[in-house]
Amino acid sequence: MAERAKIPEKNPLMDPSHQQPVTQLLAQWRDGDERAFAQLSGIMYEELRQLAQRHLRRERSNHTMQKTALVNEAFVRLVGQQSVDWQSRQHFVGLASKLMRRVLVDYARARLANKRGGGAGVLSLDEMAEPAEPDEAPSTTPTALQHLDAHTQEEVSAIDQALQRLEQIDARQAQIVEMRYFGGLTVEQTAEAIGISEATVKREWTLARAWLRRELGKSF
Amino acid sequence: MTPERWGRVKEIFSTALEREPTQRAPYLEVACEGDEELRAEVKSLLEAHDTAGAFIEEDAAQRIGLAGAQSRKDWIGRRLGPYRIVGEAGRGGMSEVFRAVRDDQQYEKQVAIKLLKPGLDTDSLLRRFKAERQILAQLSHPHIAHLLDGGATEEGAPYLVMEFIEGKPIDVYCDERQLGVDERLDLFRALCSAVHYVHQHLMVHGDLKCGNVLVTGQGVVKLLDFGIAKLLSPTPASGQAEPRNTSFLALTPEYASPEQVRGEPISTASDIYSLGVLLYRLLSGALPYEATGSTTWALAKQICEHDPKPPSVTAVEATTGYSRFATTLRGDLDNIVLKALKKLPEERYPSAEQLAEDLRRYLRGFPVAARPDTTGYRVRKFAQRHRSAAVAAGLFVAALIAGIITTTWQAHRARVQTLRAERHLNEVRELTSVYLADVYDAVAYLPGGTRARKLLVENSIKYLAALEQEAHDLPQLQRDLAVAYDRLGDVQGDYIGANIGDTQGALESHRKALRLRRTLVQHDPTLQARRELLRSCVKLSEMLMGQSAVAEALPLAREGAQMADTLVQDKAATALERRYAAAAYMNYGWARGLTGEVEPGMELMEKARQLHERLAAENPTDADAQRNLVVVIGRMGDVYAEGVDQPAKALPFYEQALRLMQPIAAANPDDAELQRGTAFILSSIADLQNDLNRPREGLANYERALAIIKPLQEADPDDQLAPQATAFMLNGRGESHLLLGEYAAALHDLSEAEKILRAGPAPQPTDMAELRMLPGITYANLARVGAMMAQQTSMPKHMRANYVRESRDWSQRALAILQPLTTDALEGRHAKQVIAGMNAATAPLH
Repeated sequence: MAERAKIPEKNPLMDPSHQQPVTQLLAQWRDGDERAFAQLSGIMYEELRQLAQRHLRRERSNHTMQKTALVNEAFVRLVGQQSVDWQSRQHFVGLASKLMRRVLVDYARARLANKRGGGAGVLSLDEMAEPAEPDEAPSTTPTALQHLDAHTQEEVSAIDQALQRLEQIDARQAQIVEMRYFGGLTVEQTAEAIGISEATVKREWTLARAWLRRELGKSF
Repeated sequence: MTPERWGRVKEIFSTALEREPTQRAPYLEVACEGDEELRAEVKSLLEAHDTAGAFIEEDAAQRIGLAGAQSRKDWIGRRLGPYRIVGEAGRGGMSEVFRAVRDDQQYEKQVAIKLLKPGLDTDSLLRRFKAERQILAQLSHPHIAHLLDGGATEEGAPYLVMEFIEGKPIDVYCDERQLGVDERLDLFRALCSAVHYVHQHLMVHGDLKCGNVLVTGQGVVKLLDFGIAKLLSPTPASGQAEPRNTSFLALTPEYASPEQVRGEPISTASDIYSLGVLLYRLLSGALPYEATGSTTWALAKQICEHDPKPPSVTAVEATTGYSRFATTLRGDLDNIVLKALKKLPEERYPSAEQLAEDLRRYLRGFPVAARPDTTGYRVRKFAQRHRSAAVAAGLFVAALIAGIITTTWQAHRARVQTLRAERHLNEVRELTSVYLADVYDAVAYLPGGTRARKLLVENSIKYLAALEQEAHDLPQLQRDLAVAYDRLGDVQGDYIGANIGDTQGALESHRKALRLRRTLVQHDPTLQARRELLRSCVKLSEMLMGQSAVAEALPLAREGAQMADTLVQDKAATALERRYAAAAYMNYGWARGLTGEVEPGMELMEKARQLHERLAAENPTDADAQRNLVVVIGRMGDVYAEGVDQPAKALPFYEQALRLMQPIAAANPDDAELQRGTAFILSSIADLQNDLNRPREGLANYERALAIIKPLQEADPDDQLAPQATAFMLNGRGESHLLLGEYAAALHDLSEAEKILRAGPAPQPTDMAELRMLPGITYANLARVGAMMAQQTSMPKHMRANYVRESRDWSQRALAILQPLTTDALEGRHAKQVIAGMNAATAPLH
């Protein structure tokens, strides 16, 4: 518990002084700078993880109606209103989806490991989750964490693995699934990020979905 | 798998999905050109697709509860259909509102997009939107912001597109500019004209409130969200006539009318109420009922049960500078606002236009229509006494008033013709299926229920008459009208049953139904049309027989039986047709039997019995089928008992009917109709037993009948038939006593019967002859008892002299009633018999 209080509420990356690096890193990565890519990945992964963590807490008292993709939220936070070229944005969204996939799969695995009694010391999102604010009414409804059952975690994990196989057959389809399922992007956003038509996204998505459905059998 | 092969899979899979499911297998056969492996691959993918349901449609983050809450800003720039969101505009309880522009237009016309809460049933909402958009598109009024379009976001949240209005809610506008009373009334009257326009187009707004009435910088009033309440109201079951479609969600409880709060059907009158709330707010600074600190339920209760304070009183209490209005409000404006806020819809202004007109009169210094509440006390008293009945009747009146006003408007509005027809269909169906059936039945056995029924009937007649003039070219409407008249006829005076005893009215309604149905059959002789025509023939002829109008009844009964012949032979005939046919045979057989044609009559009735027996055997649990069998057997008894006066032959039929009836009645103790039926059979048996000079048995059966009928009479004091039935049975029991030589007991029963008959309404010429005869028979029996008493030698002389006088008096009364009836086609012979019996008994006195 004492550990948790130390997690900074405000992401240092939100500080305007830190925003420059992200757009810069994006540009460098676009120009083929591998180091920039590694650095960017680190920053973004951390950002996404923290966003996810915050949303886990917010879930309890969430009165807002519309849901948004964390990927988009991360973009707003890391790049903000600064102008980036469309290519950088495409890169960002693609990378963010990939990273989001990792955040989610890591999270699901950690949860599963905990449930099975193993995984001592594995850092997971809910371990970091802070207790409810004191002014919040004691929640009688189960939190999102309690909703989370092993089934969902296994599903996330199984889709991740099946997706690795799909990448061998049809990389673009796998990317579409990654963006939509893990990145939480809409058809329109996915089309924009990859640079193809919405109709194509829909068509590819339909087949990929059927393929995954078949691969996962009847267990999900 | 090679990329080429995967490409083939992709192509065939996508093409197959575009085909109808049944066409897919043949398509695969052709497309795979004998490549079995390929075919199996695509086939398994198609199967997986079909069973995928919502698989991975929800993204992983949402699945595990990590979805981000979207800020409103994130919507800006997003595209919804042809619209692009460019800014925020406001928010409500169920929605967020954005400013948007059309992407595909050369000029940028701004619209407002209302994004609704996910979880509303998007599909049905959009379906209803499609159904309504034609109507919505027709509307054009300077004070209405129009609904333009609708759709769903990718996440499945429905949205609606409206004309964008730059303005402030009317209450904010008034307060910011510190407008005076007159200026506020001017704005409000503009609003009334918009609402009236909506009503003229046969719609209600359903969610009138300050937040939905904007005033632009130029001071122009704009009504928003018109049509939305209806779109958001719960979906009726598909395929139904949607009789309850008019009930809206109470979207904003503070502004909702009592009927809306109760979730009952609402009408234009409900909008008038909400206008009243809005005006209350503009004039007093507060709402008549505030939700603060209380639950929605408490608010609802207040709305339904408490009278609001006059606005002038609230204005004084308000801290926000409204107290300066108090003096102005006192009197006329208080009355006007309170009239709009009446609990009973029919007590409010009949239209928004009339509300506006009353305000105009106030502004010009003329007397207004709204008066201080003088009838309130009486109405409340009535409502307290007959709570349920009053509620039902009130609702009904509201619905009808809307309907009648609608009807008048329509005369000038040819262009809304189809709309009108559809709307009327729904209204008539609602009348028939909700009010004349459900509501009517619901209030039937409540104390005071008969009075509520009467109100229903009176309003129905007005309404249907107005509607009938428009129905001539609309078969569907004619059909529904016939059903409504049929039902109304039942309500007005069924042959047997709790009713309001308006026989003449009932005949008139059944005649109207018959006329409409004749036309329909001529036009298109479907099975249904013929069945319904048969039904009208039977009903009307049965009622006419009850009136002894044999000349009119017999041809109708014959027509019914002839139709029955062709109906049962129709290949498409179902149990329903057979039941109707049986009813027609029974009816015609009964009519012939009663008019002396016993043989052919009994033959027809035997046909009916066989049909009913089969139907009852097919549906052993169907109480109606069993009941019908009882009825036909009872009627066979009637033929012998009344038609040819052979009580010994009649008795076995009645006894059989009783044996069949008792278990049904016992199984349905709450069905008053069945209990009543049992009592009538028992009393018929007792009648015969008296006739057969077995008065001991007769006495016992009258006792049993009375034990059933008395509680029924107490349960509904307004039911006309119950006291008559009681009197009938008391008279019979008196006769049993008379035959047994128990004169004191006979005198008691007969006097009791006479008292009941005297207290009730005088028999009308249109009443059943049997009922008209009853007082005569009772007096005749009294005369006989008096004669017997007068001959008691053990009695003191002056008392015997008294009985002689009384007996003479009674026999004169009896004659006065019975003599005219001796010419009655059905009861004439019976009347003569009674007179003869009486004369024989009183002869020794002369």
